[in-house]
Amino acid sequence: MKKECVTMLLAGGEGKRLGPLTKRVAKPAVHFGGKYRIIDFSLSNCSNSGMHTIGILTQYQPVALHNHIGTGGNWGLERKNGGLTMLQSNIEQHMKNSYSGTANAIYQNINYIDQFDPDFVLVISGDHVYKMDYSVMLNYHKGKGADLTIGVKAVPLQEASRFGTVITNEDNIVLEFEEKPKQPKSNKVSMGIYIFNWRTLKKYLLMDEQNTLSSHDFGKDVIPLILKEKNIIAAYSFDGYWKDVGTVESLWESNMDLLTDDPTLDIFDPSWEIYSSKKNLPPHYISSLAVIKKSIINDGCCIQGQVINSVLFNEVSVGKNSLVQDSVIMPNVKIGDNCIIKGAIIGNETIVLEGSRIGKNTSKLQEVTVIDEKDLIINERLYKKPKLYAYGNKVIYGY
Amino acid sequence: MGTRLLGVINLVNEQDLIQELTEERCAASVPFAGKYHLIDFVFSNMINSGIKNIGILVLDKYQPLIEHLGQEELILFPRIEEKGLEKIGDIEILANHLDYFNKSKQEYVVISGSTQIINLDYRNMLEFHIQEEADITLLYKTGVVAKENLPARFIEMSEDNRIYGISDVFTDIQRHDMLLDTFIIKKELLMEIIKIGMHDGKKDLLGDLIIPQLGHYKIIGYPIHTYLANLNSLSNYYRHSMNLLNLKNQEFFFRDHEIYTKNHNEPPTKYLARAEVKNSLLSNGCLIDGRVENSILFRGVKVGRGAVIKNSILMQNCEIGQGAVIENAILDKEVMWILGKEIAR
Repeated sequence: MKKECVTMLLAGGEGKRLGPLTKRVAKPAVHFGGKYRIIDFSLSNCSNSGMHTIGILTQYQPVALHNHIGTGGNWGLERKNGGLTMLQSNIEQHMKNSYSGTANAIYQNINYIDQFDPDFVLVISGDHVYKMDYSVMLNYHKGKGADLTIGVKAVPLQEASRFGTVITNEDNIVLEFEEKPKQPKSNKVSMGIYIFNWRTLKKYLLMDEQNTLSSHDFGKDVIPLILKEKNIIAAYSFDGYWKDVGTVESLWESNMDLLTDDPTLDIFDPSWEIYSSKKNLPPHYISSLAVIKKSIINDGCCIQGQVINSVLFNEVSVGKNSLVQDSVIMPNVKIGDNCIIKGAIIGNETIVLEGSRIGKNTSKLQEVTVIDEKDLIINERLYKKPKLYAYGNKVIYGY
Repeated sequence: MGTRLLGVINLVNEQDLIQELTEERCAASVPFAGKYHLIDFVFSNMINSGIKNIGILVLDKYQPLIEHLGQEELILFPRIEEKGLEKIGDIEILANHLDYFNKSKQEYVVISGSTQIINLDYRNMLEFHIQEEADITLLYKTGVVAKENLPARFIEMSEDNRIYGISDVFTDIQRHDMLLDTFIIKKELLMEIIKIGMHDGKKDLLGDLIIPQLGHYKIIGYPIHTYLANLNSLSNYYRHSMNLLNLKNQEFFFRDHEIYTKNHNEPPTKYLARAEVKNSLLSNGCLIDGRVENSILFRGVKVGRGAVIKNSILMQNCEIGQGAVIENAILDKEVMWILGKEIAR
């Protein structure tokens, strides 16, 4: 059945700069905002924008993602025609990482797209935290008569070298495109959101695939190729909140951004709901000894200590006399009595034993402490993965 | 074991039990514990007991129930064309659905209401029923303070677990064995009793058929000793709600095992810089800018700056404006309370 626009959501990112947080899950599956996974923003944007035909391309550590997304019902994306399809990279075809680049991932799924005979293909990633109506961008693309429209955002110039930068004329037509330039000429960067005419995309995917020197990446190869061949590329300016949470610091900062009185990214906005998988959990409990200020707390938590300026996911418990400050505590973390946790991200299912100290008082982003999931923390800064010993009928953690 | 049991949730005798909270909804749809509807507890007990075939007997005000469950297939509707609502009892509604029982493959039936919240695995009760070769096994709770649970029926049992007397005489503060609204019976026997009841023009299964026949059938008692939240009045609803603000009770209620319910898509609750919250249970989607003490907040409740909520229950989407004070109150869903006004009970 024909669909006007098919969305391809790239969700294979390894997120190497997120350290232990992406050891067992792909970057889009990383926990965010007390309740969500990063991919929830892209998925919810699709649902709210009326983009209901989506192929999700997974590769690195896809299990958590597949379990989280299921058939897409929680985002309103379960449909008899179109709907959501998981496109796991085919391991038999190539040797190890079988999508060799972002463009190659789409190239390998040309058949999937062709079945809908679309006019347009929207390419997005599951790595970014933002709210956007893609249908508005699509109308803009049609209005410009472009072959490709790139979503762009102005960032501080010193950050521009992390992204693909774009130079446009007054008509917002792209004149130059530079991927991760050392000396950026422009502070407008590509958000990794592209709307292609399918005809155009298909042609250049096939062309690029023939080029053995190509890394088959959109930013490095395909888009420069499209520009070189004198096609019309338009730039669509976006000025809402947008964050690439690819580093520990930016992930921490983005979580903290939610805690201000009037956050730029408003997850309480009923007109643009962010959906996620639904869990069956009890309400959270705040004891008479607890103090909670400027924080976000999810279902199933049990708080007996102080939580200040922090984001707590589901089923986190904080013991008596403990302090959790400026931190992000992921699901099922158990924090004992008399602990002090400052400026940290603690991975899910970690146990922090009584009296432990983690992190330091800091406003410097570079000093965020990350604790791996399922770790065990004892006392000051002493943490390792424990071995379990059985002794009689007791289980002891030993080193 | 669970697959030998058919579950029937009988809502017929609970219509107006919780006074104002049941004006527009059946008791099973009354919100409780910050997130659930009463039906969730008995329903989850059944599912956790391995029961796969569940029917719900309704009489009136059950639209919220259908919305909550998201399906109508489980409901055994009454047929009320000629008679008025008051004249119809559970016997008649069961009689209207004899084909449902005929088609069900299970041998035994457990029938329960929704307002007596307990934690029970019905398989244990069934095992006892079969072991004792009983006709009917009635559930009872030991050590109940009569005065706090009126109106109630109390049982007298012989040493071989046979119930020989059921009365409502006790009204004091002593502890007695209280009859609950749950019992197990063989399906064939149930259908037989229903037919007799219809023939004799009886209305109420437990009250008109089973209790008067204590001598005629082998009726035994199965005890439960753990916590019972008997929500048979508005004041008991309030009292048991406040009891939830106690970690031990919470563990019992919903941390030890899963209570299934309808889950909504709400963001996690946000506490602003001026929030002061103590000893309270909160669901997701709340925005807290004021003081909340000894209270239960359902999803999406907004507490404005300087507002004070004490010893209260605020149901979903209530909005309490700046400076408002709410004490010892139950607010039903979507109440908006603006600046300056104060309500207390």
